[in-house]
Amino acid sequence: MKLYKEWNSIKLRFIVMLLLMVGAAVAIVSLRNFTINLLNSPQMRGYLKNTPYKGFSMILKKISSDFSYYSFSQWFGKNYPQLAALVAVILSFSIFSKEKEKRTFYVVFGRMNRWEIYSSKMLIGYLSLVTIMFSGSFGYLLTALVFNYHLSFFMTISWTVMATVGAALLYQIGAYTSLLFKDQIKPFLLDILIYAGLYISGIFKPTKFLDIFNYMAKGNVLRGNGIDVLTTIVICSICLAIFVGEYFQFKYMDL
Amino acid sequence: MAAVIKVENLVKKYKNHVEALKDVSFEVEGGSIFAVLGPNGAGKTTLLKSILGMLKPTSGKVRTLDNVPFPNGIRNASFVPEEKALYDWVKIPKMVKIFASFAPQFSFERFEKLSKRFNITMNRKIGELSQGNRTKLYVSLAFAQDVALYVLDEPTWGLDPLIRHEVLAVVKESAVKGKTVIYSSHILSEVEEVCDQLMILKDGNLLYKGSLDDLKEKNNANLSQAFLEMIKGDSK
Repeated sequence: MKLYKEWNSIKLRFIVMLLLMVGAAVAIVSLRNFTINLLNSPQMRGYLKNTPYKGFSMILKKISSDFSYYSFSQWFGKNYPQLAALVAVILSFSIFSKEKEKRTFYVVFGRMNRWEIYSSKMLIGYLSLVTIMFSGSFGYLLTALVFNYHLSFFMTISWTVMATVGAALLYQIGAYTSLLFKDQIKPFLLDILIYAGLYISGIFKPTKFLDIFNYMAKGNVLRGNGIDVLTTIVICSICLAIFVGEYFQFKYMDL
Repeated sequence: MAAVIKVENLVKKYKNHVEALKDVSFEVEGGSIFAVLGPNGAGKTTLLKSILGMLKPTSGKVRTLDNVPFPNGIRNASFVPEEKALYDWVKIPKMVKIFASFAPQFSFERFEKLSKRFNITMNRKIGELSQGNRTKLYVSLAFAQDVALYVLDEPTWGLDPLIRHEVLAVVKESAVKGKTVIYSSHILSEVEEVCDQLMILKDGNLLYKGSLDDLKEKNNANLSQAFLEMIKGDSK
């Protein structure tokens, strides 16, 4: 497998996204006490007394006392899947469109066959994505250990696997839109539109199943339910179907 | 020598319904320098890309080095495209390293010799290179591969006369070593200097295929005059 060229294309984006992900994870654990102090401040208490939603103060109490809940509400159920979507779009939008726009496909084509070109691009993207996702979750877990907070490994791995699988689908969608256009802006905008569509679909009952972010940030894990195996298999199958379909489209397209 | 490229009744229509090649048939002998000539929009680049398997023929057959080139291309060939686009974000040594990581039969030693011949300044970013320097680098990379077929689309674009002369010398040396070179250019004097066989395309039609000497003899003129007469004559 000839990955050196692809690694050089993606290296800078990989490093930036890795630092962003790990930095955010470390910051969220490190800022826990600050967040709790803020929530328990007299001003906040005064505000909560007047709020019509009484469950809110209970949530805040839980965030203060239960580190698993804090982890879900501040990281695994919120910033982590959001950053995962950002990582997916940044890694995918230019994967094919940049080569088309800059006309650099001719450098590799013939010297590598179409499967080698396609698989090396996709593999480097997937490896980068998985590395960033696992660094984000295990960076969070390790920082928690350093601060002597307890977070179950089982919960961490469950959230990590589901967020990574969801991000893989977003990445695969991004890679497909990248193949459709000859410039880099259109696939980027289309990806954002698709991700927003998937998120908004979660609001409506009939389309709720399309809300990939709900799967990536499953609250059930807090109740010890672990990975949602069926949905994970379905999403992996969709990924594989897009991967294969995209390859055949690439294989028979004019360059 | 046996034919290394066989094209039979090749037709290429693009999605926008432009018919770039219309029933083109020809063969290229191994070890020759074969020129593809024609005015802008004649179908030269489409033909070169079809020979290398970058484009799917609408109909007809293409065989290059005993392989059907579409969709997977020809590993034993090296291509210099018209655009000379390389990876703008890296410096030349890194570009060479990246190119060597996937280009078959690439030799750093050969590249070094060529880069000295073409007077390439190595420690520069690709994005900052002039058109001429990009061409020099692309041609050096392509000829650093020891392959059976070199396909060159405007390989002297932007070059000064000295380096142009060196590039033509490299092309001629390759043919002497038994390599086949397909050469497309607008500069007829350099085509006249290097090629044995040639074809002339206009609006996707093959107007002439044969030796340079035959063309000159038939028209009782030099290549430039014969080419112009053929292009104008076809328009009448």
